[in-house]
Amino acid sequence: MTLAAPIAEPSRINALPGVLFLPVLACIALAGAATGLTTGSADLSFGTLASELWGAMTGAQSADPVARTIFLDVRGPRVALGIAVGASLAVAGAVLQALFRNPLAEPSIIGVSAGAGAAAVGTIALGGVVSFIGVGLLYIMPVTAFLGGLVATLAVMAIARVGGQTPVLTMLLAGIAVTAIGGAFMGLMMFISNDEQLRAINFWMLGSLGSATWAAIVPALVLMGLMLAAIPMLTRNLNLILLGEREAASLGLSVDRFKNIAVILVAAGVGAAVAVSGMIGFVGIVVPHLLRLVVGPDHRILLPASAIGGAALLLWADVAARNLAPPAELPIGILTALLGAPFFLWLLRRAGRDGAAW
Amino acid sequence: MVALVAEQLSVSLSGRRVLAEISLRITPGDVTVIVGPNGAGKSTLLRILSGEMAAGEGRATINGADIRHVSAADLARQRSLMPQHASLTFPFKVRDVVAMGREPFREDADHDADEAAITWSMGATDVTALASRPYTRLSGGEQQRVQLARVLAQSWRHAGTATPRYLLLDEPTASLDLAHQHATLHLARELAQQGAGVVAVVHDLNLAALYADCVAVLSNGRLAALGAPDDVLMPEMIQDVFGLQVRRIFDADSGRHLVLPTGHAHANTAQTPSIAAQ
Repeated sequence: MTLAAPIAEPSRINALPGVLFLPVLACIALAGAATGLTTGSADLSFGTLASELWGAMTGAQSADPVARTIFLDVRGPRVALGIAVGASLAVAGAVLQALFRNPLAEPSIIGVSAGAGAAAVGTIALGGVVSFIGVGLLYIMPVTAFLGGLVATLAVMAIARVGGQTPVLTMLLAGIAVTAIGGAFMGLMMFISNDEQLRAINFWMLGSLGSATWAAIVPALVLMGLMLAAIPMLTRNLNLILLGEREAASLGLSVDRFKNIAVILVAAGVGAAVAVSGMIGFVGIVVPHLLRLVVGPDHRILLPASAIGGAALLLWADVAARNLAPPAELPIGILTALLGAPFFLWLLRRAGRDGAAW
Repeated sequence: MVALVAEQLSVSLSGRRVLAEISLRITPGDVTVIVGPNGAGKSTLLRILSGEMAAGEGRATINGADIRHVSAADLARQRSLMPQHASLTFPFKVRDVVAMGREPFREDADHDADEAAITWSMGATDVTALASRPYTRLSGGEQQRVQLARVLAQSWRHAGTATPRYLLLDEPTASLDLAHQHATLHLARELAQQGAGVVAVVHDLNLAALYADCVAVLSNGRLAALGAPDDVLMPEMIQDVFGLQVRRIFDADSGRHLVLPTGHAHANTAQTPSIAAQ
């Protein structure tokens, strides 16, 4: 029947090493969260953190009410936001890389972030007209940013596609064009803004987790949570997409419908992240790429790993942003760009050298 | 009506007629080989037969149902398709790629069947030894065998299961060495004996002569000949369609006639392709 004698080999090779890696990542993220909660203008001990968190959960009297307030109401939202934004951006990057079947896709590179950002700025600038200013803005911005990100993603997908493939060149060019349009729109919106709105836009643009209060982040957390909760259902189909769109279709996947659902989820996650934390770039390329080297391309492991890894990266980046030049706080977007942009260039060079048909 | 049938298919792409009035019947148990010059419409025909593309006129039916009205998920359980070019560029392990062929059967949750299908397919295509290698590190021929294994895993059934199924293979031998080319067609025969309907696009006329029950010759989008290899693969037909002079030789071992190319035809007929003219 065959040419060579079958070689005895255990037929089941599973991704155990990848699964074992998840707890390691989770520990890194947890350590980042604990460090984020304890360090700052008032340094608190891990012991205080543990006893106060335990006390808060069991409803016991607080031994140190100030510390508990700092943990729960001052730093708590910031850490929660770091986890949600980091996880959303990294997962969005991994999903986009699968949809484009191109490991260089990333929300901030292909224009999703720019689309979401333009919509966010537009919301602030036009907010006076429709009188959303105030708490309402916090609820409207994630939604408009989601819509802006959605339009940008669909545009890039349509423009960059050449004969069923998305070559890296057309994808990057489409991303540049969409980002430029988003940037122009942002400029226009700033031009027509009044002083108060300009201050709000500037504050938002720096990209920071610092503005977090529970009231301000709940709408965005819900949107990001929805995206993160839905994406595990897509993992197998993302694997099929990597095989090729024709192959995926022949294996029973309704490719266009699936891609639309995935794009909407990505836009929701990225839009919400951009609306509350500004432009934080390159998380979506650094995290999935490094993790792919460790756990492989299978999305059943890659997506959870990216979520945890993205959270870990952003938590630690925020710790660094707060402690590198105290009392000043560096915008976290600058840190991720300093880390991610060289990494992206290295990837691009490597792709060129290997002649990979990305 | 258990068959995969093309009924008077015609297709035009950007004004050019790619297929014209093709009627073809793929029956379970048979190996049908499609041959024809480059650009004759072979891949387009497979696209329509697999349900991937709609015909301009005419229709394709699978077991009596119009293929355009069968859901993607149902279709995936009845036919598998191996495209001419694979485009996987992510480093999945070979076994993971083959396992994706079982995706249409996920709801059955029959892990024994999945295991059996994967193990058998990898053995049949000689890729068992590559199981844990990254797909992207394989040679072109090895990648092609892995893709074939994936397609085989999709069409695998428990012994004795009578559900008709179809395999559509677009140039499955293109990057294979000689021995693996024959092993692939031999495998197609074996699957047909187990009750599958196999369609393969092949360029080597002798592979068609040795392994096909039925040969369909496409030329400029038309069915130039259809029938048993011994009846179809005649020097006159090959001269007309391919512009190639051949001698027909009887091979006593296989009991089939083989063709031996003896030279390029003189460009004395309009249909004769010539490289210079392209």
